[in-house]
Formats: sequence, structure tokens, C-alpha cells
Amino acid sequence: MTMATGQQQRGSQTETICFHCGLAIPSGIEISATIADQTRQFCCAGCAAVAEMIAGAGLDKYYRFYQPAGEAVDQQRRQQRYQVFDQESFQQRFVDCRQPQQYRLELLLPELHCAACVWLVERFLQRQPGVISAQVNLDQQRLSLCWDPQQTALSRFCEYLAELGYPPEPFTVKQQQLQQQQESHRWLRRIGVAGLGMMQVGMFSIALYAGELQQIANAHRLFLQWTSWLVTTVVMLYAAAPFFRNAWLGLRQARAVMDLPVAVAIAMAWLASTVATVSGEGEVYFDSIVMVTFLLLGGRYLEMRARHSSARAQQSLLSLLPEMVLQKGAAGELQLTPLYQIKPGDQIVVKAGEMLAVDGIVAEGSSALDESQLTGEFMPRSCALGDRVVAGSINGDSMLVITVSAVGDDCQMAAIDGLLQQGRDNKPRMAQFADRLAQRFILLVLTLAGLTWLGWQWLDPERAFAAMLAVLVVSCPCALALATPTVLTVATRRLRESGILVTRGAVWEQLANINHLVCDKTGTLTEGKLSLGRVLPLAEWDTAELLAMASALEQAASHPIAAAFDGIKPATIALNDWQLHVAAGVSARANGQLWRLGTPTFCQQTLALPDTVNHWLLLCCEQQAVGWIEVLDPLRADAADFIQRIRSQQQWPVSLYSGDHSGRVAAVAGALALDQAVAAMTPADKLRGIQHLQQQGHSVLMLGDGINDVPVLAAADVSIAMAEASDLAKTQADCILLNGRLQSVELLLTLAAETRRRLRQNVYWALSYNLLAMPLAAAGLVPPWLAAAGMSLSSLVVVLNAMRLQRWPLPAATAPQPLLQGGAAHG
Amino acid sequence: MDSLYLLIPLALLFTAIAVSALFWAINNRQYDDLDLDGRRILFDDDDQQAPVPQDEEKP
Repeated sequence: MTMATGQQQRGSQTETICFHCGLAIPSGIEISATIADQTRQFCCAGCAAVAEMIAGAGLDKYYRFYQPAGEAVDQQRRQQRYQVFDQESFQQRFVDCRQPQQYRLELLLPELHCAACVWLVERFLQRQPGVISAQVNLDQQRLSLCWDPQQTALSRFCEYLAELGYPPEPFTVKQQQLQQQQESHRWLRRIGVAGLGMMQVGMFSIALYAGELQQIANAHRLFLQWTSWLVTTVVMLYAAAPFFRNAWLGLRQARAVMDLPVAVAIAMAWLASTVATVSGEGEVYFDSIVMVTFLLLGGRYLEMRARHSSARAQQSLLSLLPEMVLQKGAAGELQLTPLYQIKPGDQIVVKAGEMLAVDGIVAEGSSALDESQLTGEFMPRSCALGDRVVAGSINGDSMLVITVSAVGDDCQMAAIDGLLQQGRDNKPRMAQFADRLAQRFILLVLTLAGLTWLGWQWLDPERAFAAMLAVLVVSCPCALALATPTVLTVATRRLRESGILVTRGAVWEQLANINHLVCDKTGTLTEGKLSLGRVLPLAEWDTAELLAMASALEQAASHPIAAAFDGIKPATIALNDWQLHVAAGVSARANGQLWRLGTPTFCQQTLALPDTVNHWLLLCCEQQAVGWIEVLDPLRADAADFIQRIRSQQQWPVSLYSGDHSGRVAAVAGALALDQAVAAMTPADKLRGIQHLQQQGHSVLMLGDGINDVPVLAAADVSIAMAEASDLAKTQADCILLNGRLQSVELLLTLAAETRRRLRQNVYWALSYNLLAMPLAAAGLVPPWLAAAGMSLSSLVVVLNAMRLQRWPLPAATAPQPLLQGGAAHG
Repeated sequence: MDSLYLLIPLALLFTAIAVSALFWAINNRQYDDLDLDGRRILFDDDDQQAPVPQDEEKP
């Protein structure tokens, strides 16, 4: 393992390496433990715990095995550093090894900072043998890598990445926070140096400018120029270093990156000014250099802060889960256990006010859960014995005992993150357009700068250099590169806070073209929780016996109708030959007699329904009808208002496609004033219906439950699913609403429209600024320092415009509507 | 004007001191959470209050 640590600590003074995982220990962290009679340093409590565990099990020989051969040369050390990644302990901790030929790993690449870097990393890795997929999330600087370990080892990829200039680290959330903090400190230090340097050089420059007008003595002029040179060189080497590094890395890969014009401008200005200072003649541009550096750094720092706070907001809830839980043993004893030791099937105790650390089923107790972290819904959801609960919700006022069903990455939380990641990784067209534009722009800028210089040589050579400098600086397409990602980041975050997940990035644009809304009924316009209404016995049976028999028949079914019978104690009668007939009913034999519960046709009866409005089940034994049972499915309280607003604000026709056979469909359509309602549709019928609409030129938005109608959702132009947090793994739709409010659809529509508007605003602003400023600069009308200020300001405008989206308000609250029950009389 | 030769190096020295003070403050995490520090003055200082005289307690 990293026995190297012992030797290396003696050799290198600056870098201490974690004894367990081999990564650098960040300054300020002092965690140590005694392993094999020696005190060792660790980078985090996790590494220390594992090392102690290994030592405690008498396995500390493990750490004595591999000794490095001789001193570590930098290259060697880097290879060794990543060889750690191939080892079992690392892989167990960080790599998803569930599929033997498809290992997955998330890596943090702290040096990633622009779209060009992303392109580079993704392209490069995708060309390597053994890589199945490589996707980068720029906001979190996270690389999701999937590879075949039998073809290539992980360490190889890491070495490549390090050589490209992006040394990888395992992506853990705490690591990310640390990285963010370090990055933030680095930028602040650079800005501080650049700012103070700028003030000094600015002061000297004023003296020099005044001196030009007032015949400054040569000795004084030279003195001021040399001191300016000193300060500027320090600023350039320290604060402006990132620009040079990025430009150089880009050039090595034959890519023109955002920093290239800036680096060229600074370098040339410095050279020209140095020559002028040494020779005693000519213009110096020290003030421009430091001002460009300071303002650019400021702009980048703001962008970094936006990126960090968005990453923090989207931080996996898994990192907020408690590390220790109270486990209830078989004998009822309670013990504080670390979360990673909990397995499905264990029981844990959650006290009032605590956050649930696992997904599970309530085994004891009843309480109310606050699921706002997941769904954005602040009304607590009550839960009792047998209910499913999810990690991340906060327990209300009573203690609960939970039987664990999923831990860690199997939790619904991880599913949310996965879906969000998916949504952010495929970008809307406008964003891709802006990315491509930025690349071509840079080459254009360099060409124009050269032409400017040549042009001025012919007109007035003295102004040539300043004009070229101004062109280089003013046209850095930073604003263009920032225009789209920031808007999308903030918009996605705003939706996430309200419990809306966007899983496909193209949704933002497609929502603009929608002109028809198709809804499902059960679970979408209605609550989806069926309950029992009236019972009409037809034979000598009484109500209780009827219900008991029906409950027994529905026991084995997992249909929503069966859930309505949950509270009824089933008849204690043995059932054989139980069968579920799709869209018809259930049947079984009891005491030799064939019982059926379902639609009248299924029961082979020609009886008329008690009324055509509601959903009735007929229970019959052999050929005799025994009784009717009514099943109620109330409309959602906000359904009527929602439909009315969609029709008045969006002017879309609204259709209802339902698999329900009953007259309920027509009743709902009437109550909500829908344009069209079709009942008794099979999934294939629904699919045909949508395709028919699309052939007529409609762009369809489908609102469904996301689980039972997957092909239909896939066919629609945009699909929205109303899902419960506990069903996420099965939900497949472009957008997922977690909080069960139809109002969220309105928020999605208005926010999408506003996002499109901001995207357009930002791109047009960035473009027009550049197109306007470049000719002015080429004409020599813009001094270099003004060019720097203008360019930073334009980036600032773009970022601020995006950040205002964060405060986008919810649509006006709907007035409470009387609940529409199935039993209401209709004319 | 020859005072320039003294004053400017002096200014640079002060700048260097300022930079090192800034570095210290940054490394000491003083700029990490600017919002929190602004609100910190609103936190209650319960443990620094003088003890309430006993005879005023009971109604």
C-alpha cells in the first residue's frame, strides 16, 4: 500500500500523504492514529477509521507489504499515486463494481474550468480503449467514468488525465467541499495581489502620465517605470499565472481556449513595456496589464462562486445524512452504529426531529414526515405501520422504528441525483450553439488583432500596439462562454427546490412549442388513492360479509383498486386458483365455487350499473350477482383551477386519455371542462392517440404517472410524471414532479419560458457587446485598460442576469376548491 | 523630488506587508462565509451575561 509514506515524509517537506489512501493531506487537517506502534497521519476520519479497523483485526501487515524502490522521482511518484487507485481497498471504497465489466467511478477534476476543458477530457477519454463512457459535469468538476477494468486499469486513465493537466481525485462530497474551499482561497489570494498591485501601478502610472505633460526628469521617469515593472512582473507571474497555464494547455492540444487572447495580450504588453523600460524609450502598458489581470480574475471569481453555490445546493443529500444511527438489535437492545454498517433488513430507531438515514418500511410507531428536502412539499406526510419512508425526510413528533430496505446509493436520493445529472448532461440547442460559437470566435479574434496591428502600421505605427492590445482584450469571449451554463444551472436549481426534476435538457426548448396537453386520469387529475364508497348487496349477504369476501379476493392483487380494500379484514376462507385479469377483475375458487370481482362483463352479467357516473365493482359467485361495491377516486383539489389556467393562459386544448372504463371519465371531463375525453384506452390506444395528434401537427405535453405509461410518455414531445419520492427508480419521464401539486406544472412552464428568454438575452448581449467593441478597439478608440473593464463588466452582466432566476416566484396560489367526490350528482 | 527614491520603496514595503496580512486572513478562513459573519452579531451571548440576582426570580 502506501508504505511509501514513511520514506516520503522524510524526503519531502511540503507534501504529507494520507497513510491509508495516499492522497495529499490538506493543510489544517490533523488526524492521526496509532498503527503498528507508530503514529500515522490521515486525510480524513474515514481513512483513519479503516486503518484502525485493519490494524485492530491484526492485519496491519497489510501496510508493511510494499516498499517503494529508491527515491520517488516526480513521474514515478505520480504513477505510484495513481496506482493506489487500482488497489482493492480504494476500489471498494469509491468504485461501483457491481457489473464486472463495467466499473463506474466519479472523479473530481479540480483544474476543470471551462467548456473547452470538458470537451478535451471527454474526447480524450472516449478514444481510449476500455472506456465505455466518460461524462463531465462542469459545475461540480466531476467526471463520471465507466470502463472495462479488464481492458485498462484505472490508474492509466488517471495518469493521462494528470498529463493533460487535470489531476484527478476521488469524488467524495467532503473532498469537494475541501476543494472548493482551497480553490476559493487561491482565487482570493490572486485577486488580493492583483488588486494591491493594480493600485500601486495605477499610482505610478498617474505620475507617468502627468510627467508626460509636464516634462518629467528622465531619472524619475525611469525610476517609476522600473518600479512599475517590478510590481507588474510579480502580479503577472503570480496572479495571472492561471491564464498562461490554460492557454498553454490549450495550445498543446491545438485548441483555442478562452484564455488564449488574454495570455497573448498580457505577454506582449509585458514584453513591449520591458523593452521600453530597458531602452528608455517608448510606451509602457503596465497599468493595462495589472488592470486586465485584476478585472478578469474578479469576473472568474464570481463565476466560480456561482458554480460553487450551485454545486452546494445540488449536493447529494447523502452527504447530509447522519453518519451514525441507532440500531435496534434482535433482542431489542439499542446501539449506535455507523451508517455504512447498516444493511437492508436491519431495524433502526428514528427519534422525533431526526433525519432518516435510510429508505425503509415503518415497523413500529406512527408519525408525520417532512419530505421537503426531496419534494419541496412542506406539508408533512403522515406515516404508519407498513408505509414506505425515504432517506432524507425528517421525522416529526413521534419515534419510529424502521426496517431498512435500502442504504446509501440504493436510496431514492441517489436516483434523484442520477436523474438530475442526466438532465444536465444533455444540453439544449442554444447552449451547444453558444459553445461552438465561442471556439470559432477566438480564432477570429486573434486574426483581427493581427490585422489591426498591420493596419495601423500603415496609418500610424505608434498606435498599432495599443490598438492590437485593446482588440485582444476587449473581445475575449468570456461572456459568451458564461452566457448559457449559468442560466441553466440556476434554473435547474430553482426547479429542484420546488420538487421538480428535469431529466432531459432539451425540455427547456421543447416546452415552447407545445400546443396540446394530454392528461392521464388516475393519479394525475385524481388523487390516485382509491377508497370504498357505497355497497349495494343484491342477495342475502350483508355489507360486511360482502366487503370481507371482496377484500379476500383483492388480497393478492397489487392494483390500486386492491389498495382500497386494505382496511377491510378479509374473510378467512381458503382461495385457490387466484387469477388477475387485466382491465377486468380478479377471480378465485372458494369452497369449490368460482367467485369473480370486477366489471359486469367480466362477471358475465348483463346487469346495469347502479349509475353511470362512478366506478362500481360487481361481486358474483358462480352465476349469481352478490353485490355492488363503489370505488371512489376524488379529483385533486387543484385540478379544476389548474386546467382552467392552462386553458386561459396557454390556450391549449386539454384531452384526457384514461384506461378507466367507467362513466367516471366523462364525469371528470365534464367537471373540469376538458376538450376531449376518451375512456377505456389501452396503452397501445393511448400511444396511437398521441401519434395521431402529432400527425395533425400538434406538439403534445403528456402528464401521467410515469410508471404505467412509459411508452406513451416516450412518444409525447414532452412528458411530465407525477411521482412519489418512493417510486423514483421506476419513473421515466422528461420532468418529474415530486410534490404532487399540479401548480408545479405551471411553475415549470413559466420558468422554462423565462429561462429561454434569459438564454437569448445573454447570448445576444454577449454577441452584441463583442461585435460592437471590436471595431471600436481596432479603430484605436479604446485604451487597453478600458477594454479590460468593459470585458469584465459584460461577463458580470451575464452572470447576474442568470442569477436573478433564482428568485423566480411560484405562480399565484390557487383558491381552495371543494373536493369533488365521485358521489356528487351530475345533471 | 528625490524623496521619491525613499517614499516609493517604502510604499512597496507597505504593500508587501498588506499582502502578507491579506494572505494570513484568507488562509485563516476569514473570508469563507461572509454572510454568516454579518449575522454573527445577532447571536445571543447567553454565557456572557451577568448572573441575574436571585431575589428577583420567584414571583
